[in-house]
Amino acid sequence: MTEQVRELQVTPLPDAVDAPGLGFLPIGNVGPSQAAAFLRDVGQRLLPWVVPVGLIALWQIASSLGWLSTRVLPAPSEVIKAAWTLAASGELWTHVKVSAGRALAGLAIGGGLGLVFGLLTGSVRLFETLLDSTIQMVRNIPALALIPLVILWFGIDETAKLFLIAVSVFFPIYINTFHGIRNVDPGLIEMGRTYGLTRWQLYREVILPGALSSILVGLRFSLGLMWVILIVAETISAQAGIGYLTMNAREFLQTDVVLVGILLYALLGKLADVFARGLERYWLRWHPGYQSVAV
Amino acid sequence: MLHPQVSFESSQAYLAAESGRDAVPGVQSPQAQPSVQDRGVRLEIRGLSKRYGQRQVLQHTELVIEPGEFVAIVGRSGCGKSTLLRLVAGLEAATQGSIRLDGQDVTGLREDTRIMFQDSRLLPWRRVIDNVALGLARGAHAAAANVLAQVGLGDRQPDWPARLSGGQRQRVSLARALVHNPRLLLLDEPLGALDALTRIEMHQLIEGLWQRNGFTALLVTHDVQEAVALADRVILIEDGRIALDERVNIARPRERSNPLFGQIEKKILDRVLQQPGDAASSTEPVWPATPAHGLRWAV
Repeated sequence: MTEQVRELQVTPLPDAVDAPGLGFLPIGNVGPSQAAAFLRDVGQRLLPWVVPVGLIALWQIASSLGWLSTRVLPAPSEVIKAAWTLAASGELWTHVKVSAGRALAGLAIGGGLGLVFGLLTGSVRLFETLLDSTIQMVRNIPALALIPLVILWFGIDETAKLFLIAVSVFFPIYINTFHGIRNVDPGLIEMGRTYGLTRWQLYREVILPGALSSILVGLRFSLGLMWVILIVAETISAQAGIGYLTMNAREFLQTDVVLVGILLYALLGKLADVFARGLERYWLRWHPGYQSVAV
Repeated sequence: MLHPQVSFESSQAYLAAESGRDAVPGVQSPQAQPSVQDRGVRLEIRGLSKRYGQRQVLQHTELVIEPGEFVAIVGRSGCGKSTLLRLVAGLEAATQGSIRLDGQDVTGLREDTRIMFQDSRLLPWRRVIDNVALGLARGAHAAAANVLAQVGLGDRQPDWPARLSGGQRQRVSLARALVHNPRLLLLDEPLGALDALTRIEMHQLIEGLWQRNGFTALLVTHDVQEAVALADRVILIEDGRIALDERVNIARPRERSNPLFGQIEKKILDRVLQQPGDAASSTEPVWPATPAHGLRWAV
């Protein structure tokens, strides 16, 4: 869980830095001090890229000179070539589609249930007393510890994978929804009551929007967890999907394809995070912390 | 609850003397034209007590507010003035006694009563115009826009509340209350968090809207000057009892430079300040009652 937090916090940094970097070239009278400031600015923005680009260059050189065995680590150019071949044959897309479909179906089931239960226990005291302590107890079981049981129950087909993903994404969304609702400003709820809102209006106008930022945090946690569980589930056994692609490639010692699979997971994870942040930026656009400068 | 200073009887006597000196309340003031006065509600509080567990917050409070009258309640923090307002609003139930609006008992929230809170309590996720239109039927945006213009924020309709200053937020909050055409407007220290200049502006705005709309207004404040600037009557609550009921007969718009203004303000302030010695002595026994070794320090 803590690793997830770190990942979520670190990933936004690069695009925040790179995009506007070369956007404003100083035009007109550029004094020496201005030019120096500009160079320093560009330097500041390029600095984070020095290490990754340097590493890749080093990797490429080491592979080209034969210091690295292609079985340990093929050159970056080889990896790109493998990705290209897979994409051109269409094989890549089938596997990506299968994996993404699994992940999203699991998220929809587990996340949907988490949301519903979070809303119930957050809003109705009876459901909290009835369910919350049980859910908190079950939460402490790592989803991966269920694998033997899941295999016994469902065998090794799709249901097992969906179940694992659904179970693991349930809890972050459940907990954050519950706390989001509990943390809605009671002053706002009182105001809503005095202004004659019905129960349903109060829920829709005050409580849900008030809990939304917290629910979205839960969603981002869940998205991170979703990919991790998907990778494990696909590695156990699969007839299609990125996990299948990489395990298959391992048997044939195609290290380049294995690397393509790993990079695909990274890419999908990043995409999911960008999507979640897009949702935040749209739904929380009233929030000063999420407003872009242009609004 | 030791309370030697003001007994209920003495405040009643004071009230009687006051009303004797005065003619019929509200008649001299310019806002009391009958057509407008109909809009306000008559508030009648009889023998009102409120107790939270062992703590007696209000004791046998008696108060009558005429339709269209502007009454300010002042007092130290914790004296029970906000509780009185919450009881009138129907947010809480009284332990004893009755509150009547035009003869009807207040049993809960009412459509003709609106509150303006100390914090503006705008929904941060609704645009300014939607905040004002909260609780109105669909398509009532025209009315909301109209009231928003009255408080001088007609051009801020599509903005998020987070983009407004504190004073602007309170103006939106005032508009949100007024769009329902309340007959009783309750103001719970609405200007407490604003700077001095903004407060004076808000005084003028509230006074103007009150004169135009003719609702009955009940303002709770800790600022005596504010009370004198706005109210027809200033009521001081001390330890859950009404300790002073002072009529402010100054023509509107009121000038702070008016000597009468200063006199009344001083009179009320002096009366408020009589209290601290007693307040301190009454709370003092709480400290030594706990032996020092029994305390757990938070540092």
